[in-house]
Amino acid sequence: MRLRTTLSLTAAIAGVMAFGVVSTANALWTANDAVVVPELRTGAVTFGAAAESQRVLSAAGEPVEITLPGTEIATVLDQGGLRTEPVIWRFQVTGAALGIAGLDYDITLGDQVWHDGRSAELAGGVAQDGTLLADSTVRIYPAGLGDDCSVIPDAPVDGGAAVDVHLLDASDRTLQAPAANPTGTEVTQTWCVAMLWNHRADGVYVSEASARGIAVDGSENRDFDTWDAAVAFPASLNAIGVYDHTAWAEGTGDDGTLSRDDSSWSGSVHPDPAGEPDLVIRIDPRVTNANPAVAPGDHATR
Amino acid sequence: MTAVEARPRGRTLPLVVSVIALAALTVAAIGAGTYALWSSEDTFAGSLWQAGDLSMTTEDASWRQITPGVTEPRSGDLATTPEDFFTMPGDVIEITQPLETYLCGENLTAALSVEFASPDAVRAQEETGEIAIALRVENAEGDTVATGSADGTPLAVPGLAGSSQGESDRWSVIVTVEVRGDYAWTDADVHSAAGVWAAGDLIVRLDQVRANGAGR
Repeated sequence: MRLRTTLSLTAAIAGVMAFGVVSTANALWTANDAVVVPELRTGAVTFGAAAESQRVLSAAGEPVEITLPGTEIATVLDQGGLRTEPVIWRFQVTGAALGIAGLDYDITLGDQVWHDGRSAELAGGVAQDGTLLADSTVRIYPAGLGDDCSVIPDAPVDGGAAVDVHLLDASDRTLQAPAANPTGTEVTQTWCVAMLWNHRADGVYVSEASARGIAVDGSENRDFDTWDAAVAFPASLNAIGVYDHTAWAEGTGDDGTLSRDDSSWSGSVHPDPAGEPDLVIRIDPRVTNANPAVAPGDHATR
Repeated sequence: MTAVEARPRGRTLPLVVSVIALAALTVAAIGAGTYALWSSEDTFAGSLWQAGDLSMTTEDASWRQITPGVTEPRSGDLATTPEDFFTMPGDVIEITQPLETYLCGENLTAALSVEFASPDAVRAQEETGEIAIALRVENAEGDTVATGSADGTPLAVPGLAGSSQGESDRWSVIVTVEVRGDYAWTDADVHSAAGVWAAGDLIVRLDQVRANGAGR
């Protein structure tokens, strides 16, 4: 009996040991490592325009509008006589795009907007009659080095209707090339608006001078010269009417005589230039991408 | 009077000893076979994982920009998030994790496998259209030996064989991330509006396998 017990116990121990060892052996060893991959950042883009007392930013790629105030346009009336010095007004286009992105934009003309809320489309650059803009020539063009606006490009000759506002080199402008601004520094481009009043000369005065001389030998010499000069009215809107005034006076003298007289005069009345409408200039951005598979646009589309 | 037959003690003892010896030998034989396969210790953070005759060393990860059309691509170490680099939609970034395996043992075979630590988080970014991820392993010659994605299936490189002299092999685990999504427009500084994306941490395993392919 003891022998059987001993044998059974021994076999059980051996079995447990064998099972334990075999079980452990089946769990073959594994070496593993957790590789931590840090996050990477994504960048952003910003675009806007600014002028004196104005700053507008695009929230999601929509066009921004900058306003050329009517009060600025009205300063063309300060151009007395036949002066040809234009009025210069400036605005800035600003933006930045990180990483492989870039920024292009187009400038188009918006409406003429009156202070009472009325507006009129500036179709083809032709302004509404009765506005200072309609009697002016405006050129919108990119500034030169140092934001210089002194070199005013010639307006293209369309041959059609007289265009009041000319946009020059205003399409497909590049504010920042793709992948060209790794630090995200804001890029600024200045634009010039040159406004010149279309003076209408009221006439040309022609002058002629001649001279004649007799020499000591009796010969006669003659010469003459001519020149003309344009004379202009001060810059103003077209008169809206003429006010005629008549004054009449009558008086009786000490001697009983009756004296009477009258006088008449008239004055032209011009519209108030302070009512000149603003001019809206619209700037539409689009993001460009160094990857040719990503099309330019406000959104990243493939 | 009945005679009682006494058990011959001299025959019983050797039998017991024999059984115990047999059991011990069985255990010893199994144990010996087992000890030939492994012993191990491990530490993290790019250091050596010593598994007796099985070891794997991970080195510092790096990143590089492989975006088409970029003439001056950026690159660098990836110990931490690069402070001066911002990806944009359209970017393609390659993250490379080099590692070395060492197998010493005449009949030692192993398999290398790579998987995302949190594949659900990676897939969530793919589903929202933020990024698209591809995973591959290259050998020392730059040949792709395995490809995968963030679908949760481990990427496997089987058939690593050891030798008595020891076999070292170099591998590169490469995560290719295509940055998608839309542009982020901001009315503030472009740096302040920056977001982040994560390719996801990786689990790299070197598993001993039996020569016949059974077990892991």
